[in-house]
Amino acid sequence: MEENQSILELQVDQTASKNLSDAARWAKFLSVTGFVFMGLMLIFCLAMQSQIAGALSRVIPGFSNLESFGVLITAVIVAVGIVCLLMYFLFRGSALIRKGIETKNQETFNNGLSSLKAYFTMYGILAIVGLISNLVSIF
Amino acid sequence: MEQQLQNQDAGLFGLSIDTTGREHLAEAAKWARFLAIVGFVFIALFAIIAIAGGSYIANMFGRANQFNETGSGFTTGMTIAIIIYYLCIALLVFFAYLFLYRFAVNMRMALNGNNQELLNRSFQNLKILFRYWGILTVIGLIFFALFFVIAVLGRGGV
Repeated sequence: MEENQSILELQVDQTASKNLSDAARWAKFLSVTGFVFMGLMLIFCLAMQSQIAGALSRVIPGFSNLESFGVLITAVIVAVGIVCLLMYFLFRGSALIRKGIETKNQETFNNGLSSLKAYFTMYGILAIVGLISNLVSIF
Repeated sequence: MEQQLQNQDAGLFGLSIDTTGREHLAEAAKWARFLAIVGFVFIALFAIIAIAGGSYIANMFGRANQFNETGSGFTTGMTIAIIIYYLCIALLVFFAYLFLYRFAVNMRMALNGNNQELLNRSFQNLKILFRYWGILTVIGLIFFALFFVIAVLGRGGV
C-alpha cells in the first residue's frame, strides 16, 4: 500500500530539492532583513518620539498631547508585530524546508510547507484587510 | 522505465509530496494566486495614475511656463523622467508578481495532474521570486547605506 502511494505521489527529486533549497536560502535572508528593519523602525520611532510628535502636531490639528503619541506608538507596535509574525512564518518555513531536504525527513519538510502556507495565508488576509480599508476610505 | 527512474530518484532523496504536503502546497498556491492577481491590478492602476498624473503636472507647468521655452522644455523633460521612473518601478514589481503567479498556477496544475515537471517548474518560479526580491532588497540596502553615509558626511561637513 505504501509502495503504491509512493508511486502515485509527486517526488521531491534533485531538481525540486535544489530549487527549494535555493528558495529557502533567499527566503531566510528576506525574513532576517525584515526582522532587522522592523527592529530598527521601532527603535527609531521610540528614540525620535519628540521630533515625530512635533512634526505631526504641525500637520494634524489636535495632535499635541502624550495620549495621541501613545496611540500612534501602539499602532506602530501592532504593525511591527504583524510584520514580524509574517517574517517568522517565512523564516520557520525556509529553515524547516532546508532541514527537511538535508536530513530527508518528511515530517520536518511538511512542517516547513505548513509554515510557508501560513506565510501566504497571512499575506493574503492582510491584503484583503488592506483592500477593504482602502475601499472604505474611498467611499 | 520512467516510473522506475522516478522511484529510484525518490529512493535516493526519500522526500515526497504526501497528502499533508499536498494540502499545504494547494492552500499556499491558492493564496499566492490571489496575491498575484491583486498585485497585477494594483500595478496596472499605479501605471495609469503615473501616466495620468505626469501628464497633468506637465500640462500645469506648461501653462505656467508658456512664455519661457527653456523652462517648459526642462519641465517636460522632468515630467517624462518622473513618469519613466514610476513605470520602471511598476515593471520591477510586475515581474515579482509574475513569478508568484507562475508558482501558483504551475503548483495547482502539478497537484491536480500529478505532474512532476510542473511541480519542479513551480518550485523554480518560487526560487526565482525569492531570489529576485532578495537581490532588490540588497540593492535597496546599498542605496540606503549610501544615502545615510552621504547625509552623515554632509552634516559633519556643515
